[in-house]
Amino acid sequence: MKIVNLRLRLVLWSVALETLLLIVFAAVFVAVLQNAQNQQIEETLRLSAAQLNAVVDIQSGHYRISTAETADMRARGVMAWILSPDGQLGLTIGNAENYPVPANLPLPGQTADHFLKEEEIIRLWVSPLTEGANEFGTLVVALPLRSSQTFLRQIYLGLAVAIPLVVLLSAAGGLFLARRALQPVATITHTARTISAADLSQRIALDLPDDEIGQLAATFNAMLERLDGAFQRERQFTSDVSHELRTPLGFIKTQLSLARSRPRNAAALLEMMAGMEGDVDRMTRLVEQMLSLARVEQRGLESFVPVDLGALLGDLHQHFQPKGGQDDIELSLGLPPQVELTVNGDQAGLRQVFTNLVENAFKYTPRGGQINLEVVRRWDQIEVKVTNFGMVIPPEDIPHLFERFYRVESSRSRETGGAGLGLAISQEIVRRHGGTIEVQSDADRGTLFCVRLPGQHP
Amino acid sequence: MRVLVVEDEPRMAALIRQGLVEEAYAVDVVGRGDEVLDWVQSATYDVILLDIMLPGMNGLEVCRQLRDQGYQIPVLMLTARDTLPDKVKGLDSGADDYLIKPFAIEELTARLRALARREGPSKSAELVVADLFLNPATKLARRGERSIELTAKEYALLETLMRRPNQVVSRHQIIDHVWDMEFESGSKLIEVYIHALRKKIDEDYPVKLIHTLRGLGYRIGEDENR
Repeated sequence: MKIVNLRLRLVLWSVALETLLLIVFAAVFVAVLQNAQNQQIEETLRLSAAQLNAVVDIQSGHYRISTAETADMRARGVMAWILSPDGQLGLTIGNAENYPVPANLPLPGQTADHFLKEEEIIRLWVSPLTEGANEFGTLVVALPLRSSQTFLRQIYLGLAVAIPLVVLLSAAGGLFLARRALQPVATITHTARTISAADLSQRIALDLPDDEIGQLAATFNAMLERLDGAFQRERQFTSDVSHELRTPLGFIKTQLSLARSRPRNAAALLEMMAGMEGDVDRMTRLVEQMLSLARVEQRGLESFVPVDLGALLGDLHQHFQPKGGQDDIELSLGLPPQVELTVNGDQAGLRQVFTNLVENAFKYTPRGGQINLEVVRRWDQIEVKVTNFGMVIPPEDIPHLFERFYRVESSRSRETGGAGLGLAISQEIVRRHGGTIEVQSDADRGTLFCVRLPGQHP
Repeated sequence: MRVLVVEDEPRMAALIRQGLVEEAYAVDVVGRGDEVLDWVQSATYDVILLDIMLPGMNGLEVCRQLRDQGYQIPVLMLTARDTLPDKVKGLDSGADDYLIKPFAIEELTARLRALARREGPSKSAELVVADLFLNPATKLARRGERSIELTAKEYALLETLMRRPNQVVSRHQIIDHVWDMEFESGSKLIEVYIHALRKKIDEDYPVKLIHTLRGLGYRIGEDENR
């Protein structure tokens, strides 16, 4: 079964690990305990043997011992058989009197276990009974293992109860802790679930510590912020576009209904048609500009070729001369001689940027005015300046000038015909070339649009 | 009927003005929301055509202010927005009706007629005084069985009188409802049109309907001495 719940999985893993560790610990603990017990038993047997060796007397073939001398031994459960050199039982001490001498005695200096009766095991120790250099019998000392076995059994029982209990408790604690630690994740999940494209204003509450999850939440919020901004710009753009298209559509609809609301002569109808044609032109321009903006946004850098700005502006200057003559506006072009003015860029895009700027300049320059086109190279940058001495742009409008559909209030009422996209498109194109576009406007120096592009190294 | 058109797009305003003037309305145009109150205080309008998106003050706020100051003039909201919440907001701010751009001139004038009807004593589409009928949609008058054609100004003047049957309508009221701000005071225009109307309506009939009350104004009605 695959466990999908992270919290449960964490706890299960930690509990499994903990159980394993506890079992290893218990095994080592029991082994050490048993070893210590065995050593202690052996020690007791050896000491008892040494003591018996000291206190047993032999008088005319009979072994003797005073009861007082063996009292403490007997109290500890020690029992002993004393065998004569010819293997006859000479004397028993403690409980040994009830049992025969065990068969299969171990070699001296070694231990062996022996079933005294059912459920009763004793450990045997054999040593010679000596006095000086004389050996006058064999000592068989034994200690029942019952008490030490009982002790070990209690330890096993304790471990068998304690280990599952500890595991259980730690699992419960682990679940609780995991839930607490993962609570922010649940919050994040919940928030993310309530966020839809329609409402991106929600954020994860950031009263979290600055740990991994806090950082995750902060990152998540930052991403939401960017998404929200993008969605809002998109919505704004859509709403702006629909407004911009609806206004001329409204004009056309109203004019059409007006035209047929009563009989009209040909001249009046022609005049109305001219008005509607103007509205159609306005919508056409808007749609073209939107397409152009979309194209600029899609077009990659792969179409970049070396573009000679000198030649391009010379061409534009030629192109706008007739319009200058028509509007009585002087259009001048200042090119530095013998200077490399080549940039790496999109020929059509750059042409559109400067066409937009010159067309704008024409719109705001009165008859008899002047427009200057100038190109200079500053280190590795090429600056193109378009200056006109017409209307001054109010300072409060300047920061918004490159926004889509932004129009200076005074130019809105004037039928300048722009959709408010020209500068936004220009900026987008320049930005794609790694350049900047700036504007300054005051009464003394006129209005200056300055485009800076990275120049190609000669 | 005199209409105040509040619309900031000059072309739209011009189109509306043309459409309404051709329908015999007196029209004044104002381009800013915050100027509406001044205009309403200086002249009597029968209806206000109010755009929502306006410089100065938006249409909803203008409408609310008008109502707060006790003006009962019918307001027809005009806007490009067509979502439900906007309509509700428009009506809640005190507007009487709502028209979504883009619209046809015919729909605008039909709604204006409906608003005028709602304000008047009768809900019928035609105005009636004795055996004289006036149809605001066709701009045709009828006395008995005889149909009478009217010029735009004659219609507007007759309409103003017939909306107030048996009441004295002062020269001032007539100027307010029939002419826009370009009317020159002291001119004899009203007398000229009253004369023309009498010729068309009363000349051939024993019962005269249009009465002159010297120094007070005019009254339309059957009863000579009221």
